[in-house]
Amino acid sequence: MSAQFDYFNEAPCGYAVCNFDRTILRVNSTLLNLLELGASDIVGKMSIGDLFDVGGRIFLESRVLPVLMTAGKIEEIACNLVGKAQASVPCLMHGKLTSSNEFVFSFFAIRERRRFERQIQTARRDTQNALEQAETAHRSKALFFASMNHEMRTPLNAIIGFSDIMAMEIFGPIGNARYKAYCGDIGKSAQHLLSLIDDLLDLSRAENGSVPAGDKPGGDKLAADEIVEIDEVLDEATRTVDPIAAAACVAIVRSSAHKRLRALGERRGLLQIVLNLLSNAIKMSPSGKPVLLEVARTAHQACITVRDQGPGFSEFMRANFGEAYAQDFENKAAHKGTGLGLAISKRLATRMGGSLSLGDTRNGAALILKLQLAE
Amino acid sequence: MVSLATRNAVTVSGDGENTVVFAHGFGCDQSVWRHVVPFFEASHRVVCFDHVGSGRSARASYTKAHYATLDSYARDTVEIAQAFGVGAVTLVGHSVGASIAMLAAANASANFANLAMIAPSPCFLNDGDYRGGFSRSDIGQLLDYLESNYLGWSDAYAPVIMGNPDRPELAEELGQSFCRMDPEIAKDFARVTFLADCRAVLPTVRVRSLVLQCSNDAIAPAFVGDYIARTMPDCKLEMLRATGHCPHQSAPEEVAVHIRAFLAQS
Repeated sequence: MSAQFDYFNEAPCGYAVCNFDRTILRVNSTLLNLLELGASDIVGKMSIGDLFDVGGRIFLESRVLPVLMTAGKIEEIACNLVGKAQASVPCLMHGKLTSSNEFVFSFFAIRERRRFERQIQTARRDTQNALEQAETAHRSKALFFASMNHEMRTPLNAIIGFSDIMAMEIFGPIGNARYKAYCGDIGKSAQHLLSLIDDLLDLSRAENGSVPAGDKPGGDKLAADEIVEIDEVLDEATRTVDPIAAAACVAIVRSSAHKRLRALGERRGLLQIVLNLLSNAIKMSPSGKPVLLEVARTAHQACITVRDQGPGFSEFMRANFGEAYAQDFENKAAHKGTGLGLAISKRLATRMGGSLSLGDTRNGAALILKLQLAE
Repeated sequence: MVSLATRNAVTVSGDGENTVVFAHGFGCDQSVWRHVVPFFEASHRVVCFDHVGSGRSARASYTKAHYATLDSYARDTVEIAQAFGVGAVTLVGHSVGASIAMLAAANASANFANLAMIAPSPCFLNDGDYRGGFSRSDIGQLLDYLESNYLGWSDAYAPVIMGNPDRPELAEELGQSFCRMDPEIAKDFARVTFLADCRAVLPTVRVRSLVLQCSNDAIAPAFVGDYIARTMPDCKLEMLRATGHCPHQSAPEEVAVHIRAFLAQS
């Protein structure tokens, strides 16, 4: 290293020194290059405030210098210097008050960084706005579901009730057998529509939880202090889906490595999950192939697995497992409902402190529900 | 509701029959008075405070709507003078603190014996023949600075600012950090400060007044000091040798000597 190296002038940042009168006493070459000015333009002639734009001058006098005179130093101040022909140079400034009552300032040019900071500021503002919009949309959606549920259910009940009465010919014969069959179709279609509406409402409930709107999602947990008898819930679920299983020629085969397991959770939630999983599996199962319902346990968890030998999950559905409104449009067989059943089940499982995941599905689909064991 | 002492982080020192109350300006807090205060403590009761939103004032007491004009800051100042002042009260203000003090004196003249204004400006904006020194776009530039700088504020300080006496370690940390301001409040206060126009109130002040004008003040030019002295009914103008905008910090003795002389003449 050369002994003649001039650490003041050749420093990699600009320096300016001024006294209490604000008169600039010294500047280094780096600062002169930054501003494209000569020392004779500045030293002894300009006040330190003259190096800044007007906003900077006010900031210097009302903020920077008072802090310097109180604390002796100030760090990381973003400012704009004004160079030749009023060109603005974004800088990061540090300042110190010396024992001889001089202010020493260093300036790093931060053109690139300033651009980047502006982008971050803009992005942060945009994100905040988007978040507020999303929250508003979410609230309106929940309100919409609540009101539409009622609005749609009322006419559907009329359709179902009256088509039943007609199909049963309670007030006299219809006459044409084909019309009678149509009445049955109308009733079934309306039932299907009703179940889709129930799904949507369930999802809305599972998403919003039992906590009041506006609370954090972290608090969105059911009280897991209820103890649920797993076998008893599985019995009820199996009984409930028996008619549709029989209609589809699918047997439900139960196997339990462990009897009388008790899990922490909520009975209604567990029943809903198992019903969802079983009816999905029955829907996907080829005629004649059984659906397996297995119960096992690990040290602290109960595992309930529902397996079918249907087409299984596509890559798309595996990747979007449990996402509400994710539909596999490639797979026509999967496209029989709203696709909300799994999303609802996954949310319910999480709220009970458990999980719902996809198992090994080389041969059909396997869904594994895990719940914390009681004790 | 927080006490007045907590709301404005009021500190009282010194001993005397009469009181001097100090009101700081924009961008800082009461710590700017620390070199002036010793000149008064032997003879006066000294009251310093932080405007709500500055320094160690109670953050929770700040609402943008309430502090949308300097009048609210002036009302706080009157309350502090009434609650902590003894005998004849002298009000000393710097920069916008001087405008706040002037408004306080105009609205509650019975509470104040003297008013001393350091580097004051009743209106920073140019308006016809009146040369306040700045345009609206200049003030926009200042707001841009406040946007890009943190003013020593961090979330860690928030509990302290809201009053948390059971955590002394934070207070200690604060002792090393001067003039903190919540960036959002700083922007509000900057707007209120630099867009204010209190010129109409100047002729109504019935308290004897002093203007301490600096040479080469980039914020409050000599024109403005002259204007105030001309417009107020009982106002004396003193030119300081000190330059810049903060003579109470750069030349505290000169400032103290002038104020003491002004008090001695009363």
